[in-house]
Amino acid sequence: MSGPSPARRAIDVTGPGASVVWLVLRRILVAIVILFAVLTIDFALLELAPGEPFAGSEDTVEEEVELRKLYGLDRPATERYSEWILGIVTSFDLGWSLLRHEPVTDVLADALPNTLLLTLTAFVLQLGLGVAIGTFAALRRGTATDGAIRVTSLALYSTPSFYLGVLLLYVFAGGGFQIAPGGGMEDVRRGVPLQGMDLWLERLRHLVLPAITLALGGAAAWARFVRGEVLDVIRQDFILAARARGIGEKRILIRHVLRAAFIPILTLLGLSLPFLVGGAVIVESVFGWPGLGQLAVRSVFARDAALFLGISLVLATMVLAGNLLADLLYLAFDPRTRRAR
Amino acid sequence: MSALRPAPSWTDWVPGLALARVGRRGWGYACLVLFGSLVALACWRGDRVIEAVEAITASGYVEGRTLTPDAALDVIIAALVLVATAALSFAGPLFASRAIDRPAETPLRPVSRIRSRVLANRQVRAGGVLLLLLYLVALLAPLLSPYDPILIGDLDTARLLPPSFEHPLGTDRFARDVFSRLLWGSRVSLSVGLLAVAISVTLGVLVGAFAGYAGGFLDGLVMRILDALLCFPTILLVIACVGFLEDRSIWLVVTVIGLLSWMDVARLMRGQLLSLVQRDWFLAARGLGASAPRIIFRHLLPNALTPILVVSTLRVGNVILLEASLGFLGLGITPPTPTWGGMIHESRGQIFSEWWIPFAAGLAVVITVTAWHLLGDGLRDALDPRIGREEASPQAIAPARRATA
Repeated sequence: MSGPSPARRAIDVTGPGASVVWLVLRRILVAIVILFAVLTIDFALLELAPGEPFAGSEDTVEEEVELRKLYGLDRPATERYSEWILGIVTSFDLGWSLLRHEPVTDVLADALPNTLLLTLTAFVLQLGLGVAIGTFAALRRGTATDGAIRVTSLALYSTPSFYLGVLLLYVFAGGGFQIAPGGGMEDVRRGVPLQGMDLWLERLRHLVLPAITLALGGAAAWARFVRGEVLDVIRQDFILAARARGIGEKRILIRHVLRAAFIPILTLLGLSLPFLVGGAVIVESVFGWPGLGQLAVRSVFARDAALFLGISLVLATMVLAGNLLADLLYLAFDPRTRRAR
Repeated sequence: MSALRPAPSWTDWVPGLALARVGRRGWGYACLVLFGSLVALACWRGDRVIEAVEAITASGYVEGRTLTPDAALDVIIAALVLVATAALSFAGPLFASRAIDRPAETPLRPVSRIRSRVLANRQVRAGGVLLLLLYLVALLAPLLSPYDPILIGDLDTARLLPPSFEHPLGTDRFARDVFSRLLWGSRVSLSVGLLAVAISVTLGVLVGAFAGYAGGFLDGLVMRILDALLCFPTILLVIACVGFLEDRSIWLVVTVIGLLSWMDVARLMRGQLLSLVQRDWFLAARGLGASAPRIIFRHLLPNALTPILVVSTLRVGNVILLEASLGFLGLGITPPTPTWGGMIHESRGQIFSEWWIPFAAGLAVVITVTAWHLLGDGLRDALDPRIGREEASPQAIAPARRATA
């Protein structure tokens, strides 16, 4: 690798006084500042944007004025902004959702578990698939199998997730094979609501298509990345040395190659999270999965600024938390930083 | 290539055949096919061009004229592009065949060596040819498309027709020809990608160069802000900026995407600078008393260009994906402007009955994005096998690992 030695991006692990606690604290502090900066920009943009939450309905002008007063939209923006920020800081009150007619916090609490379920499933799937396929392709480099994997992953990587979703929906939910259900989390046509185990089985069945859609694009990217990393490691001298010592191929692969490729994978882990969450916004909209992403799009159409800001806040926090976790894992696993401590 | 030049023959004046005669069969026949199809297109659509010229030159209202001045201008520009491309595909092979024929006594200059290495790469060739064709289709859309892409058709008889000879991809809910909309939609996707990346690369290079060169506190501040901004899914930021607006023009979408996606370019640029300032020639330039802008623009930038070029090429594909996703969510460029993502959005209710509409529009996106990724991958392999293999991932920010040391 050209240039200075690879090190974790924001963390100056080799510098004097680099303690893990301080690093984590600094990251959290910067994250909070940025989060609020983005929220402020968001607020200003939504304020400047045209479009009225109450326009277009059958209300008269007087009723509209009444409604604006009721929801406090008649007061100046600065006043509402300071009140909104105060609400978040003091009581985690994110305002009132015009779309769902309940506090934004309640709406978020409903939708967050669904999004977490979808993204975590997709995350595990894409990482597992990506590492397995990438390693496999690297071990068979130059063969037809490798070529086929490279072409397929390039095509998958260039496929928009909504298109993949629509195709899977057409093939497996509506067209030839009706294997997996497409829309929502449960079958709404069923008269009696499901309970306990049955409910979870039903949800899992509905999870199959969205999770695969979300995972495939990422899996292709991971496969490309892992293939390159493994190829890099295989060429190095210590693998040759291990072979010379008579260690079995399987053991070399697991104990030496994958272990060495683990660190670069870990570095990309945190950076890949925004793409996963961004993908969830689209995939949830394709499959009607009742999570935060779908809600974000619907809140835009309903001109529900409070809900959109709340969702942005939660999704950004999710990514930040994941990033932090990846950083800590990195600190724990990288031999250089282990020595530094 | 033999040193003996084949005897001149009349076939040398057929476009491409001269090239085929000196051994470049693939390129030669490709030029011939291109030239032939362009001439055929010109003959087939000649009346449309004449009509457009009349519409522009005639002053005042003329009975029975349907072309608006804007549409007529589109047609004329397309006709000019057609003539220019045809001339190129005619004259290019003639000159190329003569150049190839010259005995190569002098060693190639470095620039030509790089060029031949890039052109020898299979991925570059596949991606480049695909993109040339796609951009040609976009430029020639006014001539190629059989119907108007925006004008609402006969709602009683021509709604949601299945594919037929008149309508290769059927018609949509507003009785518009889907094939025409697909052709015109290529203009949006292809230009959004290029323009947004132009903005983000300019911004990213400037910020990265600033941070890398300034160093110290400013560098730390800029990098912290970049880190934090990278934590937000770009699509959410873009939706926050454009979603609540009523009228989303292509310029608005381009600007917003460009302004929101420069962060990783800045990071890459900074990393490059940090490694370049350790070279001896940098010290020499500084010692000679060159000013900071001069050092940055004359010495550092040209040396950092290769990875930036590779990342930008890959980036164009990702921006096209982003724009299509926005369109699919119904938050892209406002209808009735045809966009590929928007076409899928409009056909959402009929995925199972009129499946060919989303299928064709999505396929168009996949082909375009794949072409850009092929070009980017190939460029990276050809220019420097070692530079940031990681940039290929959608994460596209991996060079950061090198950035801080």
